[in-house]
Amino acid sequence: MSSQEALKRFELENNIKTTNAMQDSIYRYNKEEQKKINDEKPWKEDVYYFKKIRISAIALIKMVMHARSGDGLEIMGLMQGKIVGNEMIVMDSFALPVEGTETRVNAQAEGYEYMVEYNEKSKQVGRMENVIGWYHSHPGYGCWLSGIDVSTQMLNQKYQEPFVAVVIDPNRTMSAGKVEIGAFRTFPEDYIPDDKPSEYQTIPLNKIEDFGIHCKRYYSLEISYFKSELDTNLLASLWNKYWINTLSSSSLLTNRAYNALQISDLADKIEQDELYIMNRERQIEQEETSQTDSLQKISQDSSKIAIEVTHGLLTQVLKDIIFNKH
Amino acid sequence: MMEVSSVENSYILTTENSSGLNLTLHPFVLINISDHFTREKFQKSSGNVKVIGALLGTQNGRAIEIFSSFEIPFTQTENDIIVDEQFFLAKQIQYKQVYPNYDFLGWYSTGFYPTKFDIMCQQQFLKHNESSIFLQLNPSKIVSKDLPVTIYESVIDAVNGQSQMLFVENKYQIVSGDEERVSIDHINVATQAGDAKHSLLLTQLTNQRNAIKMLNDRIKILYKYIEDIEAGKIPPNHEILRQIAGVCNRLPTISSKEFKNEFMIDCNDVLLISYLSALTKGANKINNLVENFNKIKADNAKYKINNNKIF
Repeated sequence: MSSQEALKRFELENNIKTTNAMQDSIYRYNKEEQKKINDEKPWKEDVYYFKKIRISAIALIKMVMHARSGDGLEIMGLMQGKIVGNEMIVMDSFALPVEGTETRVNAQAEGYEYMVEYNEKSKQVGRMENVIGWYHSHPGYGCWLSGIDVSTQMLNQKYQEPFVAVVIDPNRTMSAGKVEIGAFRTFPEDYIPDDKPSEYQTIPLNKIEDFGIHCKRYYSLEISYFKSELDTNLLASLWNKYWINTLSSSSLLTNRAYNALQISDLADKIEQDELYIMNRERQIEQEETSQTDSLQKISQDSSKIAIEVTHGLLTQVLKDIIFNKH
Repeated sequence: MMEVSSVENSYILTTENSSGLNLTLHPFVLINISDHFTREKFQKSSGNVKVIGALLGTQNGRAIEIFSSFEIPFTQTENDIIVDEQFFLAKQIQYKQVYPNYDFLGWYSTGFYPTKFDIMCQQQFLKHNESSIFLQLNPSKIVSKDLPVTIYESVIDAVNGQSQMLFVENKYQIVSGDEERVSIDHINVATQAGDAKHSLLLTQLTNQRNAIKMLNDRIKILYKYIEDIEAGKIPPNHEILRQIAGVCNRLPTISSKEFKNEFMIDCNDVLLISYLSALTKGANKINNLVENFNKIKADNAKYKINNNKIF
């Protein structure tokens, strides 16, 4: 009674779409259909052609685990999938044997041989989809494309279409308890996008410049996920063994280093702001808005950190009450 | 009926497993196999699908942890099955490049119970790991309380005077890394990007409550068990009773002074962070106010100057 009930309620509360056999048909691959789409190239007409991306359970888990295994270093890999309408479907992903340092992922040469061989091997075991994108990690500084990422992706979109870039932040994933992921496509070089503000996210001080210069060169796709019927059944049974992990983990402990980093970054930002204000007093009245704006951002960031650690503490206090009280 | 069940079990040794193997399995592997099976099912669109793959992970003495897996093609005829060994070796080298710590531990397949084909596969895999294990996933739709997964070891035993290979069932535990847990939670919740923001606290609390509820349910079962024994409804099993006593004696889990101290420090750290964030928020609000105030004042001043000029 208990576990199924708990899971049912959990699903209800989180508004999960139940899968059925119809949805499983997404796993079928139609070679002719994909070839036709590839020949027609409907994305040539419209820079915003692809609006959504759907990622399979297995691809997401693989990518997050790979990103996390990088341990502060950037990692990268490729995704296999197909196109349905204006949606990109990611069926699977695989890691490439290259490690990048900060914002400098470039695997074209080293990974190429590995990639070709891997793709060939995949076809032998029924994974018919071709590579439709690449993913890499930004440990701790958010999901966006850096200057190098933008040029890499532009190159890919020129020669490898259809192609998508996915960025995962493993540190923020662990800290927030939900996967921090973004999927992006760049605009052609001569295209000037409408000036609409992108959604706000925290970006460390030493990356802000890189982010600011390039953030108008690409747009993000709406992400959703899917899983098969068997996945659903397995996850349901998994739930029975699962709760122990929920109780035994502590986000305060796992994220200690990351939290310290976040706070020190915030301190740097405040200091920079202070300097800016002092300068402004001497020069008197230049721009009024920017300073208010940056303080607003700092306040938002600090609230976010506080909320996350409070969640962690909440868990610890709960456990203390259950296991340590007489 | 009798006959059916004897056929089913003809490749399983039913005696207690005494090898003392300590198996842990990551959920990621299950999802991987499930994906392989679903994909194959739709590619071939035939009812009877069997998939085979290798299990990767670490082995430390008798402790085995299965982290990952990959698919292997094979050819099956009516009474023979051959695993593509070249593919297997090549793929293993590829995996070593990305995950150098993972070794080949055994293999997986789908089915209801071990068959002679599984014995044949096992013999082929034993070349690569002399104690290779066999994981069988039952993909039928029955949602049971337990995972439809069994892990076997192989032994050579004498049956009717002939030595034959048999499978022995092994117990296993499910463990998951934090990142695995978060991403599986994420898939389970299947949130659309964006709306997760509002329900972060809710998700957090629901997760906690569900886990605690599971614990509570299990304690209730134990409680009922003891009650029934007291009432004389069932005979006491001393082994179980000892274990229950063991669990009870562990409470409170950590009560040392050092822990309390550390815990207090942690609490205070978090409170300090919230305090700082509240201060920052306040500073921002005041800044906004001052800015607005200045603006109005400046506007007023300009207005006055303008007025003076006119008159």
